[in-house]
Amino acid sequence: MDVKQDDIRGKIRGHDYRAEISTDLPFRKWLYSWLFDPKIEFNYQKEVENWIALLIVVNLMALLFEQVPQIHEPHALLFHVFDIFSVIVFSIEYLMRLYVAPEDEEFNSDNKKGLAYLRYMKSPFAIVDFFSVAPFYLQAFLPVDLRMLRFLRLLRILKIFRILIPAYQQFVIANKGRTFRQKMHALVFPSEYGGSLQGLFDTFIVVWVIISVVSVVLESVTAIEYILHIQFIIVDAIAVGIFTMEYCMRLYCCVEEPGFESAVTGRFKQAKSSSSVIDFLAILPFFLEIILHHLMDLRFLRVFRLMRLLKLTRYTGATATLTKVIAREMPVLGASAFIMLLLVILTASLGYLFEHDAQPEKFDNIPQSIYWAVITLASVGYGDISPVTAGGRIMTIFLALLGIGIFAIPAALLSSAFTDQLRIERETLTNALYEMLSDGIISEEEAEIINLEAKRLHLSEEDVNRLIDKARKERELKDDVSVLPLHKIAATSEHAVEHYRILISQIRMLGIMTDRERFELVAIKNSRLSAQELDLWRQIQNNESESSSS
Amino acid sequence: MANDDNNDNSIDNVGMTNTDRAFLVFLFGVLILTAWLGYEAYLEGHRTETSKQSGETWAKWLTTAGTERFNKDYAISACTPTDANSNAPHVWGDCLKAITTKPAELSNLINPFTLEPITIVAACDKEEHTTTGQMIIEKALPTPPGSAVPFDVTALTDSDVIDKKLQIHITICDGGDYPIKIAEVEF
Repeated sequence: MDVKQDDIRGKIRGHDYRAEISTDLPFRKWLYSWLFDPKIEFNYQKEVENWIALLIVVNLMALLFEQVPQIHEPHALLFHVFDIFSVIVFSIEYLMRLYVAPEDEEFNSDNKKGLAYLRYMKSPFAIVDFFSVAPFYLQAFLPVDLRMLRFLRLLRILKIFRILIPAYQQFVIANKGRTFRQKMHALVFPSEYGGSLQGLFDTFIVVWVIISVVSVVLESVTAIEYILHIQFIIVDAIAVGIFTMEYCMRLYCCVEEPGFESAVTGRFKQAKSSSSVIDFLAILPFFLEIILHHLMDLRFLRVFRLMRLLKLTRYTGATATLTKVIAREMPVLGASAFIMLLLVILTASLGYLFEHDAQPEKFDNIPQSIYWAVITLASVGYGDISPVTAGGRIMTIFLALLGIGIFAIPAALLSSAFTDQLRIERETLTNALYEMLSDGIISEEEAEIINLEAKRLHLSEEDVNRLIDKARKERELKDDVSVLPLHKIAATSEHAVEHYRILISQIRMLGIMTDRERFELVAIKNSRLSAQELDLWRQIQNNESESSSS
Repeated sequence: MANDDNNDNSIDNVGMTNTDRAFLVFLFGVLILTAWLGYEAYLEGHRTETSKQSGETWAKWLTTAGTERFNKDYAISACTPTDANSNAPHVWGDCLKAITTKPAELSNLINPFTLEPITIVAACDKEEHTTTGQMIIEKALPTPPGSAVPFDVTALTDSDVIDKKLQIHITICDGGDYPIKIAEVEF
């Protein structure tokens, strides 16, 4: 099968792939194509929008922090510098968009450059962009009330609609004719109908997880908590509201997921899944603390809000890989843990035996000695408890050396298993490529699957091409059955028959080339061949003789 | 197990079903509940903030008094150092009474949790929750050289003599009766 290499490579993109835009284009067209054209895949348009969105979010946060005098007053200069930086970035963006407007079909349908500029300036997005920077320039010439200025700066948040509206329009088109629940499913679960709005939904949740976790961490800093106590309460309530809504939505529309179709058992299955349990635990402390605070002190539950960080595991394949690795290596890890437990108990007992009399306050009993044993065996060695007797010290020397090896086993196991898992996943992709290359063509759908896998496994375009070459070579070797391993030959009946034919032919050749009488003599004399094997040999050789004579 | 009533993926089934409407009502209810609980948490946080502001008012007053009370003509005589003509030494109990009795400046401070005047307590009581929004005033005395901690902090009692400068720690008890340190001042 002749595989068209260039045709395949045109479709495959690693995570580092960039669009190929000719440098011969006029500068304005080239600039538009690289930075703003949403129709060109793998240009920088998404990156530009993401960075602008991030700047908008940071601007919003800066606006919120400006309301807290204890934060704003000591850092007023920093806030001002950030404001100037934001205005410069937003102004450059506005001017660049204005400059490239004639290249955008939306504004230049009749090829009139002047009208294109005007149409752009009158477009809702451009007006929002203008008002997001105008107050800054306005205050340079006119005395504007500070509160009014801050309110006008809030308009920057409207810039987010530049990302939201196209995503929403795409979502509406993709979900035309689908039910309300199917649309909700497309929004919260990854599917072919979700489009970029689903990506934005995920990003929104991720951003709130990060905000929420950072808040919980900062709350533990007394000085910050003292200043931002109310703000932390508000952030937590909003985060819980968002996560509760997400939890309910996932539970309601999970029945659209394959394998979860049943109204009750499907939802129960979803509720039992690890990601849903994490979602539930992320919101539970809030409700419990407020509802039950009259009955008992549940403030300790606040620390469990950090569980929200685990929500991020839904958005990364790394945790799934780690879970697979741990599950696969569990028996060995269990054995290793058992040896460690034995060693800890033994060390603690010997420590107690040698040191109890000398240091009764530190080695009072075996459970108390366990702390010292673990700290010694794990090579941490805080030094708060140490042996003082000769016997105790000699024992510690041996156990510390032993501990290095024993305690390193799980780390080495996990590391090796992680590498193995990565190799398995790459081999799976190679096998998939091998199957995809069966017809010599990689279709658009197949290319999409490869691109998604390449992104998941963080493979560069070069890596993917290397795997394709490997799969292609294996595919080419398919015709030469003899070089394949026996289990691969056995997997395909055609290959098995072909291989059998080759073997018979080789036996015939052997019969022609060797001394048959002497062969049979040796075979019988030393019982090298059984009666059946010898009969088969004679049968093959006689058939050969008959076919030769006829 | 039967599927939901709108599990049909057909193109005709595009509207909202009763199940969808019921879910939206439920979701709205959950969000209202969350908002209400959030508002309750906000109110408690706001009360804690008010308590902190009371503590800060105390800290500001004590700091000012700490520099002025050693002047001869200081208005609140109970808070001045004992003079030669006094029969008994000036103590914190008398000073406290003078500054918290109306119309004194600090007498107007209200505990936002009980809506009664703030009282001074020895420690926050997490078990019985009887000290919510109240204030703790402690004195910090230097420990002998070589001690593990530089100061020994104990409650300022009514019988404590206030002839000399005192290092005072002000703490309030929040909504859960956990202590919040407000300031360390010199009185």
